[in-house]
Amino acid sequence: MRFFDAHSHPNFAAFEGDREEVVKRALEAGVFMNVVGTQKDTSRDAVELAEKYEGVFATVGLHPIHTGKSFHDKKEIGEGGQEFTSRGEEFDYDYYKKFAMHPKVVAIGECGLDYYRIEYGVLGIEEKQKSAFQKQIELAIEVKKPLMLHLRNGFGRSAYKDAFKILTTYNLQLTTRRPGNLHFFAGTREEAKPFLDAGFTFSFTGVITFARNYDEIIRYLPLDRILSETDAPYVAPAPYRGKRNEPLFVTEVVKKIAEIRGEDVEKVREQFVTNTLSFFRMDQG
Amino acid sequence: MVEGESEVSFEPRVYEVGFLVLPTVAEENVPAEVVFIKDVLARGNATVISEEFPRLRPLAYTIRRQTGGKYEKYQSAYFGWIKFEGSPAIAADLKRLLDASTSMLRYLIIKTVRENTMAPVRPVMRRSPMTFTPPRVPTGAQPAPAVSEVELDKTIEALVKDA
Repeated sequence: MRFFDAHSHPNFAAFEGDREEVVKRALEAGVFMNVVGTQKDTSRDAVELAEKYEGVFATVGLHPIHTGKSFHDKKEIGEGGQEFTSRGEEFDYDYYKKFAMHPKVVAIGECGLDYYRIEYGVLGIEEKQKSAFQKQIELAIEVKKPLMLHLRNGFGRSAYKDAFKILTTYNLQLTTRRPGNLHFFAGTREEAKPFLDAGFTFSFTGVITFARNYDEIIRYLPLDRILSETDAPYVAPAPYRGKRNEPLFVTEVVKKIAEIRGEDVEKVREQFVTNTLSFFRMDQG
Repeated sequence: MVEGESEVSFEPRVYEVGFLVLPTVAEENVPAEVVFIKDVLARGNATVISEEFPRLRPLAYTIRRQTGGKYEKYQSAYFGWIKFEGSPAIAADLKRLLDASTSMLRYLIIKTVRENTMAPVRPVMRRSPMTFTPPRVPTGAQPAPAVSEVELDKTIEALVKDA
């Protein structure tokens, strides 16, 4: 293994026609991956994929955007899922626990708060998001696995600050070395600091290869707190921008982070593998 | 303005604004939306580096927007983008005006680089109907079995995938 894509979705409908080739292409290049579920079906699919391949692992959980009557993402569940997503999903603790205990499931999520696509108070979605988040924190504590966090600001409100308040109510039980990862981190230094102090890691996607907005935070964070991810099929890195992203392209993310920090690519690559194994507790025998 | 950026800095930077014009805007009025953005840039002495004219595209997911007290759902929009060089103040101005615009579904302004970051567009191989002419069979030899059009298409698909 030379790289680890800490967060991607080859389980999504966007890979319907060539999923096996995409996964094999990455594995052959030495890229291991964590396949992240976002609701019941995609979580189940993530575990199935992890069972099939040695370098593939899974994360199971309910994405905040699916907790309420919401949008339908064709790249995620294809055309046929429209009806399902219009109802939203209640977090089914027993269902997710069954998968969470699987040996190849390495984290719970992606879970958290998403304020970008909702407006405050609309349809009680915020309460649903908070409730699902809390249950997944409890599940992570019970199965002793870290959290894969999805936090996105919107409408002038900080999902990072609100999430940290929720997490602190579980503080005594979340005192493992790396309690969670803030995937696709897009917050400020101020928002990162409490998570940094609490032991969380931060992962970055291909967006850093064409947007300069993330340079400062990438330089600020200690190298041993950063993971690389693609969040495929979304946000392909340059020189693939505009195309469908895939786990193999995580190599571009690693190269870019090294460049932004002015560090040796090989050193950064090795450190990220160490960070990811540590985060997923794969370095604990 | 991109979050965290000071308006005081005068050093020009490269930005990219990606925008979605509401699909309810009449096609003949879409150019006016581009002109609106470019006017803002011109007033601030920004330079357009590259752009793509908005064209109607299906959205990856439904976007909901409140209009006059009720919510409308959109599954398509005119997507366009403009890369420009200008001061942070111009980016801030543009953000304010796009926030107030009633014909924009969504937009995003990022700091970026002058170089092209988009993947090259590969020419589309058009599949035209094939007419298969069997090879001439030498006198006395057995003719080869006919190849169906379905099998031919599969072969062509495999070649395109490998390309």
